[in-house]
Amino acid sequence: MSKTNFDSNDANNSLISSKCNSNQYRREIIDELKKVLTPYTENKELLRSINEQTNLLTDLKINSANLVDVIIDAESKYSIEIDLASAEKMTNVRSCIDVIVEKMNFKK
Amino acid sequence: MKSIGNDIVALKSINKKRTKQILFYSKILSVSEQALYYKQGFEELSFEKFVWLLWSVKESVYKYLKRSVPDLVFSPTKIIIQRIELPYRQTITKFGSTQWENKGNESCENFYRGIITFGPYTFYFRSKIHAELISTVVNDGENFENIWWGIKSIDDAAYNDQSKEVRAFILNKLNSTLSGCNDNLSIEKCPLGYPVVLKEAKEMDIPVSLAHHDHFIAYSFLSKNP
Repeated sequence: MSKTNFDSNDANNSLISSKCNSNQYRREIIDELKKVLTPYTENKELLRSINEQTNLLTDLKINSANLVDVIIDAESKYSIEIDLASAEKMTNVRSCIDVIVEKMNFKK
Repeated sequence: MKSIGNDIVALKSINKKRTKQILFYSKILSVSEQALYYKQGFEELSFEKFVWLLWSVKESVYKYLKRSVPDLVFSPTKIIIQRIELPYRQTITKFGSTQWENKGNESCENFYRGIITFGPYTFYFRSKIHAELISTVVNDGENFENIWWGIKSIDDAAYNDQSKEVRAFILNKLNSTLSGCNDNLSIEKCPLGYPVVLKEAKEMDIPVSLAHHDHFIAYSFLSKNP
């Protein structure tokens, strides 16, 4: 497990600029999620083609022990705090996006 | 409920620095478990090994329950390790061989062991800790007599190879253990996500659990045979 370096300013600016378009907003989060998931995903080709239905464990084969890393990396990237109840839901891309959007909105 | 759950952690693949950060371990350990480490005073067990020991126990409980509660969500901090008993020899040695297999009649004093609760359920665990790995098996009773357990190091750590190797490892044991199998067993993942043993395409009444991480694989199954 290696730590990913993040540029949170870029991520925040990008999200703010696209907040009027929720589909675009979610697509941008998927692009950022790909960077978060990269250190924990063996199949990089599959990672490039993820969509909201992609399951982190069964499709991307991310080891369950690395899910905690993914959550912590997402917290760091978006400067949010993900509580345990929300973290439990983050097993597929859709739920990851939902949690990130919810916590970003809570921050505003 | 007739089930079994196991897990294995390859310690060289964990991030020791991150494991020691509260941001990380507070997502795995409950407050009472964090206190347990300092209260119990483990001499040989570093804090990061303690965290991953408890992770492997919690993951094993989750796998145990998943068979009867398909919609179960893995919530590490809700699966609570209540007590840990230490092995007779606490010195952590190297795994030292390519594989280890055991039917649960080995003295419990050779293992880390303890009690876990999750809501109304109570479970018991046994864990082997070596310098390279932590492997755990969970049962719903204190008696591990009918539990078979194997650990093996493998050359290739690619995900598909780990998965293939662990199936071959358990099938070898099942075929040599169960009478009348004649190598016609197979392991498949059922639609609910847990592995089952098939004999000529028919599911056998033998709960199995498989685990792999990096260069280590492990199986466990419940059988009174031979």
